Amino acid sequence: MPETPVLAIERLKKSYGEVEVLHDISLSIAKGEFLVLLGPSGCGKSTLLNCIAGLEDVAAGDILIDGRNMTHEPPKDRDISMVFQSYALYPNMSVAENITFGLKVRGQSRADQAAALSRVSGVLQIDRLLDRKPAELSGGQRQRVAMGRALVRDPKLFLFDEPLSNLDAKLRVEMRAEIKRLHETVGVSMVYVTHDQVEAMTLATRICVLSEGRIQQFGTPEEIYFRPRNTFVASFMGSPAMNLIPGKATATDTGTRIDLGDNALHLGTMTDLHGRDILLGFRPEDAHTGEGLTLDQPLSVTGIERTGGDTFVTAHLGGRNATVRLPAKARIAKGDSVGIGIGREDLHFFDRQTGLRIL
Amino acid sequence: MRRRDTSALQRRLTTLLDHTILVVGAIAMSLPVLVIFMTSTHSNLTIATDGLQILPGDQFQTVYGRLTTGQPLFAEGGSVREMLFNSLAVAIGFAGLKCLTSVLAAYALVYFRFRFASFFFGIIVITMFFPVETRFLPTFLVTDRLGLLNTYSGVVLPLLATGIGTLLFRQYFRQIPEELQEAARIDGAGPIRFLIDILIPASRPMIGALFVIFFVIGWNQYLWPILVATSDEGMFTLVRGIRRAGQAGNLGMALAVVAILPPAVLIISLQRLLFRGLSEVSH
Repeated sequence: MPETPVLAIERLKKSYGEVEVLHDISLSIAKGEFLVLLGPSGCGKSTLLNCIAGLEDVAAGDILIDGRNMTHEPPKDRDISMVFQSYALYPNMSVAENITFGLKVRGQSRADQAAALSRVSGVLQIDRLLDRKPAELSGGQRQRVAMGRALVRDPKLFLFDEPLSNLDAKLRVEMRAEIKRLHETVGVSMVYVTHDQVEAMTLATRICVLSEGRIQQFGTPEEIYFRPRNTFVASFMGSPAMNLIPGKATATDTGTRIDLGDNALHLGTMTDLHGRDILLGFRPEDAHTGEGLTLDQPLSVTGIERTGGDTFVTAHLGGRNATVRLPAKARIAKGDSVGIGIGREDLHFFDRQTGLRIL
Repeated sequence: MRRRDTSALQRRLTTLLDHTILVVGAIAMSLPVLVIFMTSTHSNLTIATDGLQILPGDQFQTVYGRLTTGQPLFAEGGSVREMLFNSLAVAIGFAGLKCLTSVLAAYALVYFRFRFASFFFGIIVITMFFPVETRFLPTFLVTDRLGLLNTYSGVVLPLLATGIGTLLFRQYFRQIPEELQEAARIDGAGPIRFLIDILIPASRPMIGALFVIFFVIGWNQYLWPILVATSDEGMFTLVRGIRRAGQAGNLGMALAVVAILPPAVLIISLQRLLFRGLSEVSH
């Protein structure tokens, strides 16, 4: 018998008045998993999280937490805790009071509160801050206290709503590592909302990509990155984004030819593609000079961007601007011609009408 | 070098100008208070013949001695202590109840999504256009029917019915992030717990500031307390005592000085709170 999922969402719908903002969301995760809800702003990821938390009513469908139907239970009975984007620390309470407030409300004894507090403040290394007020803390410290408040109740499910978006870049990387460490050591189940694909890739055991209130793809980070189900996921993940070049596939004597307008690519026979209008996808880092399946014509470089670690080259291909990643010290200049090849397994084919992955 | 000199000079001139304006303003504000105090130390004869005085007179002990004896100043009673107590009762009662009702009304309006909320808010705001002076007759009638004439409740309750406090608290609560309430809900705190443990403590500067303002408003009430206290000079407030003692005489002036003190002490001691609370609401 399979283990009960710690979170299961079944055919969930959410509307504000007449407007449906979440359409038919279904997903489930096992205990100990780290689920990231990923998508651009306005895709419904925070709304979905609030539905899981019970802060928003749902129009239809069910939310099961650890096997129990919590769809209509108030937040406090769902055995969850949450870290907010603004941290939402109680400004009038000290750090210690902030962390134990939930325990106090639930009527736990002072001794239990003190024990829980010392356990959590040890894990998060905030022992020295316990008497301070939130206004006296730095952004990173507030973040830790907010996590402490969530950790202290030892809930079934942790919810994070873009917790790192108010931190500066360096601190964000540190806290990201901290959250990952927390997940690995404490072993709790987490649901984490972000629009940052790097956070998603580094933290998640499973990613759910959302757009316009629909699940675009639900899978492991590897599946999301290496086998995107449609062009939305393909172009959302990865920076710079995946190149998507319109083309037409035809059968030739030796195999399949992808006509890209001003260029072409020859492959082994792929009958599924024949006669179709497609989008040919490849990631900037999967294109190499002179390796793999080579494009018929070399590309003429129109722009160069050196980030230090990499050199990104843009060039016209099939009426689009394609980006190719080259080594940092590549000797290349504007107007140069480069022959580009791509490994067969690094090519993605999408239907141009539906945007869905063909192969 | 030369340029830095001129800019330093300019800065000094600006500072001088700023301070001149402030000093002139401060004198303009405090001079009348000083004049009242000085005049109150002169005899009624001097005041009648020579008018207001800027220098101290020789009657200080006589006049202020009368205030501190505890004896009634008027035929039907009304010692300074009594009037002070009445004024405090009205001012504190008014300010306290005003803050309480305003916080509760604003809490309901901001944190509970109920139907017609904006309609009720509109009704509350409209009361600001009808201060008690515009509705003396009906309000007096209601107070009489409720048997509240000549009581503190009769003085305070009708004054409470204005929407300014609700309006200010509503604006204040709206700028407190909604996530705070969501965090409290997840922590298991119900609406009352959230109000008492989080919202009210978090709004302390605002509540303090409005309490001070309402205290002064309540303290300075004049017409309505006269109307409600139909029979009894024991219900006199200080402000009314000034009129009764004759504001042109030294006793009236002395009472005015006494009447200024409590609000002044309150405002000076809570100055910081006052500014913090009021500046928070403005952004």
